[in-house]
Amino acid sequence: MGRWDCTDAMAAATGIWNRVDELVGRAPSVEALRAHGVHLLAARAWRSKGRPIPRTVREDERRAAMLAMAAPPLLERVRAAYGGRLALMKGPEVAARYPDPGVRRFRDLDLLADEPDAAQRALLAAGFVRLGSEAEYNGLQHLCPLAWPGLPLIVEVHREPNRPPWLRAPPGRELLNTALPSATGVEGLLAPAPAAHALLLAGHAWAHHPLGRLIDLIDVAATLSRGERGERGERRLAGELATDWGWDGLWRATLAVVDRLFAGERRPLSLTVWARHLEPVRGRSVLENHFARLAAAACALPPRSAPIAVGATVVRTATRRGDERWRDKLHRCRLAIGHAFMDKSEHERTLTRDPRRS
Amino acid sequence: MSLRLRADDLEWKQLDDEIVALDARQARYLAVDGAGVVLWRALDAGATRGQLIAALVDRYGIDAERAGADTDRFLAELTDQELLAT
Repeated sequence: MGRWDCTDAMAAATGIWNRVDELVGRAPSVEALRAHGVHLLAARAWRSKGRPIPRTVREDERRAAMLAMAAPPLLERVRAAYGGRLALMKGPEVAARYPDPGVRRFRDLDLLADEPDAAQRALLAAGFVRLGSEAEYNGLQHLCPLAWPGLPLIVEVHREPNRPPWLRAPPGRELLNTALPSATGVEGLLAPAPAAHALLLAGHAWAHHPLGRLIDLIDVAATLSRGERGERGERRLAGELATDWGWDGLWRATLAVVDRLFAGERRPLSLTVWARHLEPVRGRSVLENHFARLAAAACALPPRSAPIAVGATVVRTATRRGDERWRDKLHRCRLAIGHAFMDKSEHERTLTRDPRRS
Repeated sequence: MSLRLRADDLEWKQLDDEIVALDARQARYLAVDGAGVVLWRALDAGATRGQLIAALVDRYGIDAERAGADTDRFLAELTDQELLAT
């Protein structure tokens, strides 16, 4: 690594964290910070300024610390149980890129394995226990989640990384071939190279909340800024990988937002149309959330394949979940329409209190 | 004799005026506050019983007899829970 690369990476990283502090300072409430996954980052900023930390946030800090503490011993156990190649994605691997890893909360350990079934068997033989049945996870990106009795983190052995359903899977073998030693320091454990990891983080975020949460964009920016090629080199490589994987649209849209949020570049259309909640760091409304699911596919795919993906998203939205009854589905739709302009997290709290769902 | 916290399978973090620790060998969490934080941090670096007592006297301005009793109680607790290096 050259001197220039190191300086470039450090300058990029410093810039991101200054901007992150500015952004979290805009949030209208602790709930908004929590919806964006950045309330622990805000607590760090408040503490440095001598401001009081709300009790609920202090409790979250404690829970996050307890979860984070479980990662090293669990990863050691995973590593000892399975001798094949394992790459840690997200979670503690990304947290290590933060100025204080404790502010990047995670609840599970996502491991990409060269032989997922063999890895799962090895972990079970070593004392890990299943949280569910394998049959429920047939055809999904990961096998049945595992836990070590008494420890709170969940381990998920992945067949492939998570992604929106309308994108093809990235090449798992290639990800493992180019992986580097994990930043967690667990001997023999790998992690995707920074450019590939940034792309995987973006894909995972789009699978759940396309351009939805500030924390997911911070993850991408932090991962790119700490690669050994320097930020520009990692961006170039990530762009090439995105083309190879057919993820160009998703990557371009993500980078444009990252550049606006953390480098003050020109505001992309997404931030004025379907991700308007990001810059003011407020919660996304129910209506915005539904619109974002459609816009994400339309924005990330070439014009030829976008209509099919948008159609599939409409069908998924209009159909029942699992064995849900039609009357419950209609009730849920009525609530969503009534709550169209309500913050999505508040709407979800309403749903959990709904007697029909209990 | 220098006393020290066990290095293996013991993770901990200080949060404000509290230490939260995970004894991964027993899959058990514990929390330490007050004088325990002073003793825990000293034991992380390694300290004799005399140095632990001196740390409490220095921090809280209590007499050596009381600090000795507190230190012994804390060390007994850690020994019971197998958290000290052998």
